[in-house]
Amino acid sequence: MRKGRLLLIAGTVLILAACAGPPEGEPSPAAVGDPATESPSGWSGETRLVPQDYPTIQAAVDAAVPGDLVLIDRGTYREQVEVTTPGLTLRGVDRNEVVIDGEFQRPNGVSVLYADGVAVENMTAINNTSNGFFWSGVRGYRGSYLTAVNNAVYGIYAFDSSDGLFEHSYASGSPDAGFYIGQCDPCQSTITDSISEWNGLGYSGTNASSDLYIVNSIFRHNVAGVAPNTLDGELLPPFHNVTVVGNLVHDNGNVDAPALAFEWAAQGNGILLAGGGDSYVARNRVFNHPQSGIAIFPMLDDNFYMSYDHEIVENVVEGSGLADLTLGGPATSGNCFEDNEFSTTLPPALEIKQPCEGLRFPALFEIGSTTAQLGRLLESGLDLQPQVDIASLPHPGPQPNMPGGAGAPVAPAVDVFAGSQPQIEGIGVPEMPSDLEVTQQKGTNVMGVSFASAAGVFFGLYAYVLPLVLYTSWVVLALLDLSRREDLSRGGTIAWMAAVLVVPFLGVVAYYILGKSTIPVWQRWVFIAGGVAVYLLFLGLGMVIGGIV
Amino acid sequence: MRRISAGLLGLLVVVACGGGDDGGEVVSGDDVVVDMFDNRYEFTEVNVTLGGTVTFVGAGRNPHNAVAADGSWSTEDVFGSLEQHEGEEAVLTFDEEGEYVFFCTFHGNAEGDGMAGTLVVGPAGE
Repeated sequence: MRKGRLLLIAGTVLILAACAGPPEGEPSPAAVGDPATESPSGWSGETRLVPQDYPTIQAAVDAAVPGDLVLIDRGTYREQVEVTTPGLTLRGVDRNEVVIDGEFQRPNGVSVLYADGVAVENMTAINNTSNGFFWSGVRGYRGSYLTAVNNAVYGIYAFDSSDGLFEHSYASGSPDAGFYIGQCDPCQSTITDSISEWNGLGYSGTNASSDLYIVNSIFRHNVAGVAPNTLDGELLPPFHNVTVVGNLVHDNGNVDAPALAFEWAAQGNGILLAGGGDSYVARNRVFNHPQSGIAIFPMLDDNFYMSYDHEIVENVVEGSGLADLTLGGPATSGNCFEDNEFSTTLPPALEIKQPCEGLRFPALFEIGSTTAQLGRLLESGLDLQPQVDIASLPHPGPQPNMPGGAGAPVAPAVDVFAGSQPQIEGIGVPEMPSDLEVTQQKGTNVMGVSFASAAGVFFGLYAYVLPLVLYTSWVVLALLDLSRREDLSRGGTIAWMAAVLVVPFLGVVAYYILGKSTIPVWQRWVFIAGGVAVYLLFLGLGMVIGGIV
Repeated sequence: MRRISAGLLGLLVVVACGGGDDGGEVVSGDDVVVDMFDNRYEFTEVNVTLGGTVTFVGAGRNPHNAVAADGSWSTEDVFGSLEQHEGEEAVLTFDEEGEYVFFCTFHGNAEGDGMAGTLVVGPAGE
């Protein structure tokens, strides 16, 4: 183990003791439900036709009562639809020809605010300045056969909501994420049979925890693929107990897709667990990523969040520029890797050293791959990342319509999770599509840092090089000082030399503090405090310019 | 040297932990800053001195705003748009005493659901 890493580990222990994230939060209000917004469990029998009965979708929604169906005919609707009535079903008669166009002037295509049980089906939302489809503060939601294209924040989005389902849906062209489920615990929600491409993140889930399933879906050609994560800007950190099973995750790292700063930091990773813990990533097929196929990293925001107790098993991962499996640190020893098919790991031999059963190495992780992301944030802060105009992004071809179309049974989104919770034991690794192949070669990497970004290389290597230089100089100077001292006995000299050499970091520090070194105090200040201050100064600058603090 | 070590440790912790400003629900003062996160205000009870200011700052991925439920003021009045993105500020000055419910038109409502709060403008010393 490198001396520099030992230094970092020692520092990490101190940091973790001082600034562990807040404890898991209370269940969000949406998880409990609110009688004032509750939905009826069935269709009222009333259908409100747009535009036959109402000229706009909003007019029909405003007239509707809980349990109604709002059936929308073909057309382009240049409006924002806000739903505050529980239990409505909004349905397009044709997924590809019922289009809500925000014209880059209106925030949301459809927003459901504090109204439980609203289902939105079989339609498209494009060109909104925030989100395509959005639920907030609800218990019971469903988005089925939706298409969200080129919306400026999220495509399909649920916030502070629970008991939900996104199914058979498609999202592209959103700089933050195509699919997003945030701030819920327990979420009791599922994303299944969906496609997310050409977004910043294919899936993002900030502080979204417990009974949350991302399964049987495709995440491709995004800046990064699937990224459960922890941030302080939303409540209920850190995320935990997320299940990612049976997905096809490939060719993420698309520099022509739009991305915000944090998404750019994740560029090139397939499945990325950023902070948080207790998640299960299994039987996904992951390939063609310039960074890591599956990676675990800590998350630094106002608080520092280590990753803990993630379980990465039975995935097929290949074609990664940095490594198929990466454990970026600092991280706890609770994360484990087992029965995956892979070629490379970072640190090496992850499955041997971090198995899910048996003895694990303590504090085994790679620092450089983590700090390299600081360089990515710096790039973003200096406007060096590619700027993508989402209006110029391609639209997908026609997407499958909902079976039954306009005549399908009407069901408000009540007790959604109970009827849709996937049986993950029956989900296997997706087949390799016949028209795809593994093309990504292993790139040039030094000390866990991929030579893909100048700023990333600088910060990535900085995490190794300067601590190594500092530590080496401390040791050399201490030994030199000991060799010249005449006030110590031979036994005392040998004892201190042994302490300096054998006890990493602490030995040499102990000598400077307790060994009555003859080196002047001001020089010791320069050796220790000066070097560390420079190191922290660079990291601090990176964080400030990168927008972390 | 002990002081050196303690200082180093402190510096390390400060840099690693950042500001750690988790905020709270109540803020009071002559001039107050309220971050607008996704999808909540940093403070849901804001007390400001008569003649003081409240600065609403976009701090989320989504745009936000602050609008009085009685329609008497809005961030749009000074910012020019209801969509304040990350880093954009609206500074409102309050020259009349009063108590207001305010909310984000995208993520809350005038009934105080979701992204909403209360603002009290009072004389100095209260």
